[in-house]
Amino acid sequence: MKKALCIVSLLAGFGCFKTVAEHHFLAVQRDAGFQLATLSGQIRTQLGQTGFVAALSGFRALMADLLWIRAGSAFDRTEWPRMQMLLHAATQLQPRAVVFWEMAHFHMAYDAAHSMRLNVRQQPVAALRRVAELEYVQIGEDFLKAGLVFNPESAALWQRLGELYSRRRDDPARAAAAFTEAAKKPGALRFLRRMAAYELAKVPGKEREAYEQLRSLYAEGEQERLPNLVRLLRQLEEKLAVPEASRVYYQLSAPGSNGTQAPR
Amino acid sequence: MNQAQNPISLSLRRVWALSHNTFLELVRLKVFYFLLLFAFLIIGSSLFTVQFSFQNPLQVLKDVGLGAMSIFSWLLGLLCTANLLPKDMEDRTLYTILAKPVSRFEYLQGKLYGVFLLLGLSVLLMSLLFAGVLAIREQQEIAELARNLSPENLPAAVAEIRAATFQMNLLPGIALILLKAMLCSTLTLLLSTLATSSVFTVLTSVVVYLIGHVQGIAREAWLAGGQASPLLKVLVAGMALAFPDLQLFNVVDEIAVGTALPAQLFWQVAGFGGLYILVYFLLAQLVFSTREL
Repeated sequence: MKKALCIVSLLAGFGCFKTVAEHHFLAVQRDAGFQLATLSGQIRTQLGQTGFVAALSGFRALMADLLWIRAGSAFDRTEWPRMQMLLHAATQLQPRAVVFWEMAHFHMAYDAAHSMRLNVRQQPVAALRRVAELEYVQIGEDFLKAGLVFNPESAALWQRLGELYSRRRDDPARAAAAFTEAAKKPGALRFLRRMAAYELAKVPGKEREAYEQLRSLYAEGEQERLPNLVRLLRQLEEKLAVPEASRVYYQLSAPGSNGTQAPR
Repeated sequence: MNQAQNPISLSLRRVWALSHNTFLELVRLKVFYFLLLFAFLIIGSSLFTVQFSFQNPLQVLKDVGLGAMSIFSWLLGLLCTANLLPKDMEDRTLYTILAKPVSRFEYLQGKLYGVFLLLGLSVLLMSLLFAGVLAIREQQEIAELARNLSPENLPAAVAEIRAATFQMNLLPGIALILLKAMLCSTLTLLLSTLATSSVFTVLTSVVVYLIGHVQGIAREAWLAGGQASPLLKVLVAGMALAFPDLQLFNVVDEIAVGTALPAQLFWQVAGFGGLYILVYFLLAQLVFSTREL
């Protein structure tokens, strides 16, 4: 009896301490990007009883891979709604895998959306095909935005969001904002700042801002003076009526400059 | 009273002799080779499994390898520990040992350290195989790149592949897999001191393992309050107080996708794991010290 009491009090005392400590450690781990996955009813449906138990028992990543492989077979059969559910479940199980979000958005916003556009056999009405296409573009965008909640520092996801706004939404303002954000993230590719400026140049009323950005990139040196950038600068200088003396083309053609671009 | 008959006397020499002996005993068990073979098969076959993968093969390779290490180290610890006491009682070895100047405290420690040694060896072997599999896959990827990329773009792409394959972060992740297996073994030892049959110990340990992984959900629900019935609240609170949160040790899933594990976080979890082991071992000792043999 004495021993039992001793065991129970030791367990209870340690239990109280460890409960508080575990709660604290979980918060610390979540702050560091761990333990972010959520196991919902939809995931249980996709995984089945055994798979769900396995996911609960510490084999979450393996189950996410399994769903990912199943999504691959859905892709082969162009079963887009099924693929969407599988991708959703896989990304929820492994939310820190940037490649999952990236590919999930790509398959929805590009592959599935394009497939909807060409789906003349099942949907002869062009307007309805367009609606279906836009729905999949939206699903792709939602994947990216959800991915960014879990991976806010991912330059790749911000870049994909910028590309989606630029290519699928024709929304240069939001594309420029996304590319600007991408360029600030660790490991960002250099061309992202150029992309942000190119997109900004398309936004009515933002030409001056775009011009300043392009000028600043131009000033960084030869590696930024690409034909597209120089051409756009020239167009903006014309549009904004920049004084001759401060134009890039004027400087390029000025005596002593080493500019190789053809001036006006 | 003889020093060794004191329930908490401790001689490192005697503990080492017992753990060394336990380790040799366990290494000779067929179950060790059987489980290790299965682990090797799964880790090795992941090289072929990735062919079915839909993009990102390296991640799948890591998930399969680390998942296999996690499940087999746990299983090995569970099956070996559950059999320790019943087997020694059945063979009467336990009585022979305890009749000598060896305390129950030393005996239990020796047995547990023997299991830890076995777990260390098996995790080391599995890690070596895993590293080998990763190296093979890395070479395959580099060969593929060499076929498709121009020579000036190749070095950067190769460096990227190498950085994605071998991450130093994997080492603390594997260390936590080992620690989790050690913790589960200590829990099994505790259950084994209470139980009379190894089947009961194995089944209870499996249940504890499952509960340990959902304990975090229960704990967070309990701490958040909510509208649950009083009975459910008591159940959830009991679960949170009595069982360890094994989910805290599952950090390899995120490490495999490139999330950096801060050193401070690693040491916090490792220290907490050590504390769990200590407390569960002390409980096991408390039960075993007065058990009728």
